[in-house]
Amino acid sequence: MTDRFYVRHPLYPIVSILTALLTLIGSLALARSVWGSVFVAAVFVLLCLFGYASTCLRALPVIAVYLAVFSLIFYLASGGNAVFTWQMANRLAGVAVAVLPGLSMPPVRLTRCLTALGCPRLLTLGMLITTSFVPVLSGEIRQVRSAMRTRGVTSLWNATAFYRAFLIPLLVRLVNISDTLALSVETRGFVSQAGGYTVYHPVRLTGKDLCFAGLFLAVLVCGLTAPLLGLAAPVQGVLA
Amino acid sequence: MSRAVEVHLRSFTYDGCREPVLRDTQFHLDYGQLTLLSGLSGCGKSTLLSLINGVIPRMTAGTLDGQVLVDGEDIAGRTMSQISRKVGCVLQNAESQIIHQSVEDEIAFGCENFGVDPADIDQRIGDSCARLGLERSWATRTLSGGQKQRLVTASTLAMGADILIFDEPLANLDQSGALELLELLRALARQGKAVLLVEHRLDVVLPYADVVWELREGSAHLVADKAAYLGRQVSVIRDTPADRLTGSAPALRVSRLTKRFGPRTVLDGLDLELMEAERLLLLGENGCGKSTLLSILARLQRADGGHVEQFLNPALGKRADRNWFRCVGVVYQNPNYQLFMPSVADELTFAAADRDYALELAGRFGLTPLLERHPHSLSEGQKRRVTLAAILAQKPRLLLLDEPTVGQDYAGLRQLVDVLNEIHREERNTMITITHDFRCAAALCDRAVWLERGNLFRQGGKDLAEAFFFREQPG
Repeated sequence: MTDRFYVRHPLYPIVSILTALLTLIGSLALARSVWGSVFVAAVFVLLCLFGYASTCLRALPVIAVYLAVFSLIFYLASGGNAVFTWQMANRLAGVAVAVLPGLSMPPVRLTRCLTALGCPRLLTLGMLITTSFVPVLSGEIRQVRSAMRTRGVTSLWNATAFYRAFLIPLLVRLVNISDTLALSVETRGFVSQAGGYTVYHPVRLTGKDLCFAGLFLAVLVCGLTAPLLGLAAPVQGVLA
Repeated sequence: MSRAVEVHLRSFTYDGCREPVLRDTQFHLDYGQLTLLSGLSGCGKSTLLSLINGVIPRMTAGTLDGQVLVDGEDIAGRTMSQISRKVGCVLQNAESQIIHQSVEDEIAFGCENFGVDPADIDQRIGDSCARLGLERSWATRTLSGGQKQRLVTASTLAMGADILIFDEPLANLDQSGALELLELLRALARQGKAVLLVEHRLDVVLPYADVVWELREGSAHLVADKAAYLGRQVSVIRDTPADRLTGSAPALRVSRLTKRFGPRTVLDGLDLELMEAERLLLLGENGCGKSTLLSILARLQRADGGHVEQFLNPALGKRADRNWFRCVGVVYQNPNYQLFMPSVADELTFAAADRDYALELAGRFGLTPLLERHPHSLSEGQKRRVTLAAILAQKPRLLLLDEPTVGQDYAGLRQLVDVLNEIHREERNTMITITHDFRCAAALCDRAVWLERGNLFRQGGKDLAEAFFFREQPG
């Protein structure tokens, strides 16, 4: 499902992770000023320019709806406080944009990057399987729900029915799947110890990654140092 | 030259069990041969495979009194990774074995673990994809069951082991897919690899097997006369004229049924009428829409167009509620989804119309010795019979069976078909069955419908089943 968001040439995984983290931190730190909005918008544009345009544009309607709904909630909850609403919107927008680099990255790329950096294979494989498992889990839940109905258990609100007809088959299936998966991994030569393996498509840091990182840091530093240069631009000042 | 595999076993007992599963077993596997291991459900075939590929006792505990030699070396004390360099293993349930999101990465995984050079990995991916009819760029989530099976096979082949073990690889494959895979396995054996196959579909596999072993009463026996063994195992099961009870009133009417999954149209304006007390067989290749049709008829999915009219019970509304599922019995392809009670007896009586009838069904399905067992402790074939019996205990007017015969050996299959037809005579229920097993297909139908590209391609009587299954002869 999430592979629709993958980009052809994603950033180096560590750069992606740091971008996400710093976007979140930056948006929280700058939330009280207009620079928060500028910073998030600049990161969005930067991502579009560096190959993430399709993902960004696909996610934009969802982000817009998400921001609109929560902004409305905060506006009403705060008794019509526009300043507070804008500040919260800055934080929420930061979260939304922080998700984009991770959403666009195939899990195997992160796994290969971490493996190449010497991260324990057990951990990287575990991450890979976990990310692959979410659609499997939702598929299994759908199947179990349908199967329950075929046995005449149509309501989840009955505790006994829920425990028996839903949880037991689901847990049995998940245990079976994890057993089979573990077996499959072992019978394909996986060992948790370091050494003795290769990486089919090694993931390397490129000039594009360094360029992106430089521009991103420049945007972040500008936003953070703007108050020191007398360009604070707090939200309440702008709205006043 | 040493044998590929030798098993010299006095006994093997799983932890927690009193009786050994295997005893006094002498088994061997040679290079350059396709070897078939057959036997009744629950006789120990998977156990023997697990001893060879190292799963027992490294991942599954048990007491082993004997020796397993791979390429002349005792594998006791070897790790699974070391064994997997010599023994490639394709397990059942391909869906659960795939961890990557692209075909290319999935095939590369085993090679990466073995430290194969990336350029060599690329070559192996190309070779494996060409052999198994896959494209390296395909997303694994979009693959059909048969394609996933081929992907797991490709991943194992790419690892380059000379001993290959396949545990029921034909389970999710239709006739043409099964024959393609068997041709490939035969070619691998001719290239000098040792190929071991565990399968129930002996009718399909036996013509390809060089050597046949039968596991019986816990020990392995080499079958000397393949032809006689084939004759005993693959006779077509016939029904009787008394089983043919088609009425004149309709039970279901399907009009212009359409179903799409994304850009793919699975059902394309299908029209079909099912009569009361009729037994209908759905035929078609993997992905033609059989299971989707069954699911829509069961009201487990909605169609995107067209409608289904039911004449089973006018009191039934349009909702898929409890009353609907009392009237319509659905047996899933995977029985694990439908079993949740603490014992087989509880499972059978859970929604039964009559408790005594449910327990009587247990006897008919050979489940009486298993009544106190936990359903999930049974073999897959036994679980399937429990699910069938549990659904039949509800006395449904319409019975929808999705691959009820998977995992059944010949004796179990015969019993299952006989019981289904007996109950059909007694209850005059209407049945729709999907099966890839030609031995019993004709015995479970009065009429057959062949689906292709989401619509009716042909329909006919029992002879259509034969025409479908034998449209390509084995090589």
